[in-house]
Amino acid sequence: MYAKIVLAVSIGMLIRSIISLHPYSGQNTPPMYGDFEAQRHWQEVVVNLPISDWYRNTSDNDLMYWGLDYPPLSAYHSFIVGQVAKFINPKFVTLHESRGLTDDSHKHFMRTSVLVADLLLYIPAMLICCQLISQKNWFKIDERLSTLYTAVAVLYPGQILIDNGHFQYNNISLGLAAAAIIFLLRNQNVISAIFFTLSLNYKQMELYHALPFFVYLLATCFKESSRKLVFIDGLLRLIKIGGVVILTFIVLWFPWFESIKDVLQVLHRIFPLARGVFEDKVSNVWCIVNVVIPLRDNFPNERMAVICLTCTLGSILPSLIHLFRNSNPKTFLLSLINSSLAFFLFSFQVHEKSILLATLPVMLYFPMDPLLCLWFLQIATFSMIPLLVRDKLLLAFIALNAFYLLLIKLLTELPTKRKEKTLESKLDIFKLSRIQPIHSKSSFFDNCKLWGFYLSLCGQIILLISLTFVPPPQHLPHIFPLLISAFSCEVVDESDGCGGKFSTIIVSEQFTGKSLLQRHRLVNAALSEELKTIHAFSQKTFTPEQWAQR
Amino acid sequence: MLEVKNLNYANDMTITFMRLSVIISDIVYAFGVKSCIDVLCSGSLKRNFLTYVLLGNVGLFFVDHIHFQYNGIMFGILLLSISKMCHEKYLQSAFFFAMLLHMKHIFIYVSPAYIVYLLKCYCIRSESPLRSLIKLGSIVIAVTITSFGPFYNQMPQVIARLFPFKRGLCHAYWAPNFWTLYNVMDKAASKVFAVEAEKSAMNTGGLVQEFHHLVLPSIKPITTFILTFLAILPCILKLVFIKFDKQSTHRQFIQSIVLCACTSFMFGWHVHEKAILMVLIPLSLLSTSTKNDATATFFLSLVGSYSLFPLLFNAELTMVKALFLISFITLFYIQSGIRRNLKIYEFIYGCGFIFVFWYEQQLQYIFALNERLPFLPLLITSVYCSIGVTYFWLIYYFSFLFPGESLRRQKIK
Repeated sequence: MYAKIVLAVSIGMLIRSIISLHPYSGQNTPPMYGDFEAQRHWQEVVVNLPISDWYRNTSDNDLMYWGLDYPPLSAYHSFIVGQVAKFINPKFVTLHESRGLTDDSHKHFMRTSVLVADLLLYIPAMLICCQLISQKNWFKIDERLSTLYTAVAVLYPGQILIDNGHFQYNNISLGLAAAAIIFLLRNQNVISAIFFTLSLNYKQMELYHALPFFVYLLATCFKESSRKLVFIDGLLRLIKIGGVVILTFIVLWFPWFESIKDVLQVLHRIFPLARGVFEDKVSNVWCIVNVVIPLRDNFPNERMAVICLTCTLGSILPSLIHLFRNSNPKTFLLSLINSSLAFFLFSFQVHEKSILLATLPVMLYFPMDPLLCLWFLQIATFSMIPLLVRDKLLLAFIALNAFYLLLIKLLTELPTKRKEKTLESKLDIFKLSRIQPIHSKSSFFDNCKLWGFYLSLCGQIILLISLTFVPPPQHLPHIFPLLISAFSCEVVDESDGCGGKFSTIIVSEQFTGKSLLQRHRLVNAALSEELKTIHAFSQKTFTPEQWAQR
Repeated sequence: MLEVKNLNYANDMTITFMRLSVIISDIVYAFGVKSCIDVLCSGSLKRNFLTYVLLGNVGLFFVDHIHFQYNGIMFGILLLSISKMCHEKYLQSAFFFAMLLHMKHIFIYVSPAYIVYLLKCYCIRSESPLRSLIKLGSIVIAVTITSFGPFYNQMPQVIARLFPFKRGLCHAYWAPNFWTLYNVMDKAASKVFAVEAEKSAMNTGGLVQEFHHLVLPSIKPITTFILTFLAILPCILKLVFIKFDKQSTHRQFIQSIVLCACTSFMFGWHVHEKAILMVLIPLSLLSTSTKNDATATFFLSLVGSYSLFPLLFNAELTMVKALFLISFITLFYIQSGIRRNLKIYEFIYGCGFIFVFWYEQQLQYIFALNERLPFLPLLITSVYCSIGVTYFWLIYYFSFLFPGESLRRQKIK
């Protein structure tokens, strides 16, 4: 048992420390650099300035240059890491002078700080979570599947590439959220609420998970109690949880409570409306709709924000109602998936990295529907390709994904007591049919998933090759990132009130992309031709939206 | 990139190219592994395990892919040759081995086992020993001519390059062998008898050169040769006199390769720490055959891989190398089921590495010894590892010479 834990942790850390050797975002690209510099700059700011100036524009704190835009807990974390940096080498965080610092020992220091968070928070949280869910008997989970489950969760390439490659501390917010899920599964709702509040105060993006947490806690407050005092009992519990949450908030926000203006300034920094509906090519609905209707020109930001909010809430609502009526951990996980995906697809100012928030519950849901979850995880990593290419992490992406899939293949070959399916196709190179739960009914649907997975894998490879080797047509310089976004855009049917169904439909655009390319290489694209192709392309891209409306 | 004067030339493309060349040449290694596994074990569990042990060899990763050398391809050829030998295709085996010798002459250390085994199994057992001998000899000579042909008029220079005796008994970082212990004893004796260190005896100073011992007699190349030869002798004699029996002789052949390599590692002149792979990889082949062999592989993997740590000295590689070793060792431990076989003092010795590592990473700074004794971590590493390697060598030699003895002990347990 101990040996297995050591093994899981050490392999997880090994892969992370290898990815750490790769370049980070914005390495040697002045004047703004990238997320790495952002994190370093925050350390510089919070170590040197008084706490009230952290979020404020002052002569020493130029908010235009990577101003702090995460909630207080993130700032405190920067403070601690910054103090350690100062202890090791004051040059790491000298005010003003350390901007754009490019130094091997500093890179090593920053990388180590992420690895520490992985070791202390993220990996243990994921391991415990997997362990708990494996014991839950929602499904028959044999030893092989639970090994596979742990590997899938601990070694997920997307999170590793973003945190240890690109450079961010998602592992902390996700780890805190996973801890909250752990306590929720153990029915320790108050502690769970505290952890979730912490996670929310580390990254505001955890709002993606907030609604299901709220609804689940609300529902359980009023569920198990003696008949007579249902309401009062529930109310007391609710007050207890609410009080704890508010208290946590107060403790964390204490330094800014001197004036309302300060609090508003922090809020303004955290929720930047001015930045527009999306920044880069993100695989969400707005990015694709934008191909047809130029959203930025037609709608002012405020109005767009309202539209986004309505769409998001509208798409989560059925799932939440379902969760409220059948509040059990399984529907909770489903609802987390739905909610985070809805936010990702419809909300305002989405980053491609935010897909990680959806991958967390999907990873945890893995044993219930292995193939579909794996497919989603795979596509989610792929959707971040434009970002990874910019960071020169393409090699790391390919190698890590290959490792991940090979590992899954190896683990599916472990011996098991379960009867193997007799019919195994030779084309099924990763032996994924073995991890499908066996039930005779919907084998057609299972097969669809299986071949869908391989098809989309092929599509990804084709897109990847064309991205690397085919120069983009001159008048459409962003065609490949856009295609990748469209390819990876998934739409999730809400778990409707009664059944709790859950399905992911992947709309593939690769064939459109290919034909478009060939045409372009043949005809030296004239203007009319261009219009035609865009038209053809955009017609296809309606499909994800239509899926959403169903 | 290929201009001869371009020393120390490096850019990203060159690095990628060179690294890729190593990765691609590893296909040979993978091929060798596959052919060996086909001969040596059956059953998918055992096969998977052996594949993992051979392909996942930490030392090979360190030396080839992080440090940079082309060992993979050579060990690939060695494994091919071993598998041919097990298939009783002796001529092919001899061909591969001759090729290997001309790629890297360090493999000459295992040639006694090859020569004896080939003569015994191929020449003497065949109907006309003389004809077989001529066949064998002509293959070896043909390979030699092809290899050295272009350089025939500058042989002395080539030989001098190949066998550099000027470099001293030990490498800058002491490979964990007998001479490390010898040096340390010398050092200790010089402290005890208060011998003046006038001949610049700072032999851990990081220089590759000859040096003189202070108390114990200084060692000359010829001494190491005689010692190596004497130490290999029992193993070779045993190999000569065992009865030929299809099942066990394969195993004994591989064991004798391991022992030849290990003995020369123990007593050789100017041994490099990378040479431990020559012991480790053939030894790994046996890790599925008996529990004893598995334990031995486990033990030597730990010691040998740790002894390679000083090769990767960059700070950012510290985590990578440590975690690599931990992952490999733990997975080996879980998969091989050697828990009962591992003796308690072996386990304690293994745990000792944590302290060695800890000292190197942290303790020396805490005690502020890093400036006064900058080479102490290296010294501790090589001494600690050499204890392990010596222990392994003694135990393994004993179990090879007296297999019944160790089997009986196992039963008593």
